[in-house]
This record gives sequence, C-alpha cells and structure tokens, in this order.
Amino acid sequence: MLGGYAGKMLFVNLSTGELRDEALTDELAEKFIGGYGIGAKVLYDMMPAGADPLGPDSVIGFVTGPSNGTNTFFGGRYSVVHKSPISGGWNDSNSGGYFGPELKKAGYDAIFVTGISDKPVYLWINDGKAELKDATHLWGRDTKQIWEDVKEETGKPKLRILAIGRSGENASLISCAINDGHRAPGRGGSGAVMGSKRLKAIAVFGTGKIPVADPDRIKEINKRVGATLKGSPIGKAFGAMGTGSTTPASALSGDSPVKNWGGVGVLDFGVENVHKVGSAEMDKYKTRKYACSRCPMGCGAEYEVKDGKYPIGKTDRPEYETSAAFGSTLLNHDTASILKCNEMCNQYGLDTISAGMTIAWAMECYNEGILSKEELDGIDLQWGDGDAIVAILQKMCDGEGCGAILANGSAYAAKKWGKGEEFLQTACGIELPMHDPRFAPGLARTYQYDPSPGRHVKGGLGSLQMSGAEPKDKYDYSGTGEIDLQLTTHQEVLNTMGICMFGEFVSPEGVHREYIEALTGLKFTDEEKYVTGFRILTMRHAFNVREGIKPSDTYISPRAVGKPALQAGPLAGVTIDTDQLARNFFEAAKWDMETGKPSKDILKELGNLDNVIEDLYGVAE
Amino acid sequence: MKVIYRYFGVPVPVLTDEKKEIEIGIGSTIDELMNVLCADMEEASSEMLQKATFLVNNIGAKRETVLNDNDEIIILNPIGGG
Ligand code: SF4
Repeated sequence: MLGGYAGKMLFVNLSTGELRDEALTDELAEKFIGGYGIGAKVLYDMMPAGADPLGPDSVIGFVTGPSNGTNTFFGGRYSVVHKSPISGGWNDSNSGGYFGPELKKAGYDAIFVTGISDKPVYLWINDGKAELKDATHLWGRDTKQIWEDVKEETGKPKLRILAIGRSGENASLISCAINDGHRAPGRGGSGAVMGSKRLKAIAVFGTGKIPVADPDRIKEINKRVGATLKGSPIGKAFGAMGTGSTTPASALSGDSPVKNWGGVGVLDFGVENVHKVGSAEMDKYKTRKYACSRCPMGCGAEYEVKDGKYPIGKTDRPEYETSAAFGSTLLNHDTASILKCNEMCNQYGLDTISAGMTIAWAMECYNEGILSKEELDGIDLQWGDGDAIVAILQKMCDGEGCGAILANGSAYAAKKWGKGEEFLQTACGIELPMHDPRFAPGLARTYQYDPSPGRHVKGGLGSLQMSGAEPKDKYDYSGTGEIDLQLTTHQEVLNTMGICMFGEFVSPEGVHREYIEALTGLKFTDEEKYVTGFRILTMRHAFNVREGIKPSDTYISPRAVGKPALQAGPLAGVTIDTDQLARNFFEAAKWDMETGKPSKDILKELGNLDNVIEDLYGVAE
Repeated sequence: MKVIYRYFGVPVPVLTDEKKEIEIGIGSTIDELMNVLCADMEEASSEMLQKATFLVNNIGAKRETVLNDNDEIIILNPIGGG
C-alpha cells in the first residue's frame, strides 16, 4: 500500500446489518487521492442513477485523505459524500477536528454506508473492529451529549464521534452531521441522509500508526510551513482571533451579504455595528484556544457565556460563515443571539449557513408582507431582531409549526407555501454561502456550476478575487477559463488530501504537492497534480451528468449576481456575466455547455474514467 | 489638507477601526496615503495591504482615487474563504 493510507475501507449495509472490509487499492488512492475523490469514484460505481437520496439505495461515504492521522501540518480534514436531498445531485462537504485522523488510526481510510436500519444504530469502530450497536436509547440526544454517553458506554474516554442531533433524526433537509461537538461537514443535507438511514453516529477509537513514505521530508516541509506561518499577518490574525477576525471588514467591503443579499454593509448594517459580529468583540467570552489535528495555527476557541439573556455556558467561537449568516445577512448585531444560534445549530445538527439564510428569506418575506405573523407562529420577524431569530431557529430545531417547513431550507419553504420565490438566494436549491459574487465574480461560476453547488471552498477564480490577488480587472470576463480551471483543480487536490484551506494562506507555494510525494512515495509533478485534480472534478461532475442534470438545469438566484445591480455602496452597478464565466470554464474543461458531458477525448486523456465513458458514450475503448 | 481614515481587516500594527486624522498634501491619492501609513510597517503587513479595498465617504474607491479635504476613508482587508 502507498504511504499515507490505512489500506482498508469499510462497507456497511444497514438493511442487512452486513459489515464488509475491502482493501483500498493503490490505483484508487493514486488516481483519486482520498476524501471526495475516492468518494466520488466509489459512489459513482455503487449508487444507481436516480436513487432517492433518502432511500435505501443511497450511499453516504465518510472518507479521509492521506494527510489525516500523519504528521502533516493542517492535515485534519475528511469529507462526507452523498447525493443531496436538496439539489438532487452530487454533494460533498468537509470538516476538521479529530474525527478523520482518528478513523484512520482505527484502521480505515473510508466508510460507505447504504440501506436503512429498522432501528436507530451507531457504528462503533474500536481499533480495527467494527460493529453496529443499538442506538434506540440515544435517539433524541444532542451531538454533544451523545459523545459523553458513548464514551461512557464503551469505556473509551478518548473516542471521537460524528453524530446527528434531532434535526438529522427528523431528516430536516438542511441538517448536518457534527463531529467533535462543533465541527460540521455542514452543507447539502448529510444529517438528513444519516437520519433517513437511522444511523445516529459513528464513534471511532484507534491507536494505529499510519505509515508514510518519507517521514523526514514531512518534518522538513512542516518546518518551512512553520517559518512562513510565523511571519504571516493572516496566520497571526487567524491564530489569535479565528475566521471572525475579519468579519467586520467583510461586512463593509461587500464580501459578506447584507440584508438577504439586498443591502449594503456601510449603509444598512452600519460602520458602528460591524464590530459586534467579529471576534474582537466576541472574544471577551474566550476561555481557551484550540486547533484541529496537527494544525500549528489553531483558529478555534472555546467560549463561556455565563450570563446575559442567553447564558449558554461552554460553547464555541462562531466561524465567519456563521457570524455572517446570523449577523449581517439578517442585519443582526445582537452578539448574544449569534452565539446562541451557533450553539443551537451545533447541538441539533443544523447547517449554520442554510439556517441563517433560510431565516433571511423568511424575514424578507415577512417584512414585504408575503408571509404573515400567523404563518410564522406569531413571531414578529423584524430585520435585526436577535430574539425573534433565536425563536424561529428554535422552531426549526424542534421541527414544530412553521419550523417544520423552514427546517427543510428556503427553497423547500417557498415551494411549500407557494410564495416568496423572488427572495430566495440559492444555487440549485442550496442556500448561498457568505461570500458575495458581486465582490468576487468568479464565485458566480463556482456557486452555480460546481458539482456541489453553493460552496465557498472549491477554489477557482473567485478564491483569488476574494483575497484581492487577481492581477487584472476582476469584472473583465474574457479569458477566465484556464485560470479558473487551474485553481479549481488545485483545490480539488488540497481538499481530497485532507488539508485545511487556511493552511494554504500561510504556506509556501507548492508544498502540498511535496507533501503528497513525502506521504505516498509517488512522484507528483505539477502536471500530475493538475490531471489528478481535474479527474476528481470530472468524476464529481459525471455523477450529475449521469443523473440527467444539464447545465441549463442549474441556477443561481439573480440578486446574488447583480440582477438587478445594487444602487449604492462599494458594489453599486455590478452585474456579473455568469454565462460568459461558465462558457469559458466549460470550454477549458472540454465539457459540453449544452449536455454537460465531458468530451470523450478529455475523459480518455484524464484516464481511469472508463465507466464514465461507457455510461455517457456507450462504449469504453 | 486633512483626511480621516479607519481600518477593518487582518490586524496590522498602527491601523485600527478607530477614526484617525492625518495631514496629507492637497490632491493626494489613496495610494499616497497608503504609502505614508505603511512607511514603518514590516514588509509582510505592507505587502498584504497592497490587496486592500477602499471606501471614500461610503463609496467604493481605487488606489488612484484623488482625495479631498475632510474625506473619510475606510481601508478594508478581509480574508475571503473562511
Ligand atoms: S486553521 Fe482552523 S480549521 Fe484549519 S486546521 Fe487549523 S484549527 Fe482547523
């Protein structure tokens, strides 16, 4: 087996109770790296086209990368893959913490689960031994409590757990799994898929060592990363104050959406209010800093809120995405309510982005007279009212009254109520994340056309523009295809090897290619990196093409791309030519803009995609 | 002439979100203001500020924008991606 891998995958059928080990082949590891790369290949092969994401044929995968469980800096992230019950297409999301590395140490690179159990169960992997255990008595527990309960019943206080809360049990479409009590593979409905299978949790404990090809080289690369980190202002900011260190700047620059994407930070939210949604203000509750596995920066922090209107006790610092989703998007600068919403989402297992954005949709509908107070169960959902936000979120968490509708996301709610579609801010049904394409226009292509729609962690041209690093005018849409594709394939490699994207902000260029070489022992040139990233992207995309999803079936809400353009503020007058950006990208990738099909030539060139050629073109030569 | 500036973004020495006044030459641009503000900064910080965006009196502005007496400049340096 190549270095960097445990060498084994676990396949679980919850309908029959069968657990089966399968060797991870060198070929699969080399060609698809790990995370959602291996995930896409396995799901494509295992899951029939057209399967109901919440039905017995659906497969959900939990897949580590080669950096997980090794000494590699920033190597703590794993992926969750499944078909999204919201978009009806491919879905991957990733999460940090310690779950991924622990799973590797427990002996597995990946777990794939299919079927539906007839009673609640959890999967327990104890140093290479996997078993399904009854979870009837744990059904209803929150994601923090269950961790304590399972530690006690297994007698393993150091185990790690990934669990759903009550939102996942209710199969709320915007629910997610939570690991380590606060880290979330948040987007696209992983909680609903687990809940529909009655899979309450996966608990792992392991003492194994992951062999790597060249441990000394990893140490040497770590040293260089450490040196760059030391001199980096971003490293200092994130290390001290986390991703919330620049939330105020994002709210003012136009990077964060404001007032359900219809407002302007400086005018509607106010320069004097922005600091209340950032870490500089919130860190008065900080009790300690923490980090994911092998992270030398540590952007996380534990808080303790002892008093005030929401005395939630021990909690976690909200990430930027959460602070913006429950902050500027709702014109809410009531810090206590943001902390409370963050804790509720973590405990019940709700995606903070989709939850905040769904409330933003309901808030605009209410303020425009489209939804009545009665329809919102008597809640006066005014812009910026932190208490009303907490009240409606509680309804969503409990799945009660209007909350039973809103817990399925804004697109579902607009359809169910038959109104308010004009105020949706989604890509293919998934609520948009907290970086505005009008500020970084490349995001428009990524949000609409990435196989996992509505993601801010997929690289591409938008990632360059977000950090202000694009050399040419960002609103010039000519010739963007090659660079957009290059940057997307680069991120595919980073994500699938299990590296945190913040690590890249503070690392010397090119180190991740070197890490792969040191981990696996394979030569991994820039060209190989590009082809591998491109292959993974194409595999994910092919999943959607096989589902019958054409580019014309995808969409992004018009307001987010400046249709109509804002009248004031730093982004006044900006309208994005998303079609042009997409045409450029599809042309560079040799994907057909009409059918979505990757050309036969590119599929052959990328290699290891024979089954895709067969499915899309009939014969694999 | 006198302009007012404040800063939001990745923390760097000297710049904060408090309003500060500074005297600069008539007809100065944002770029010239930034050169003054970054003069004594360590290289990594001033390099990072090359990527900053600006508002002048709440309207988006560029480095070459010419400033007027009493203008209020907001210097923004968010980190995208989080
Ligand atoms: S930077 Fe933050 S999210 Fe990334 S690995 Fe470190 S602690 Fe985890």
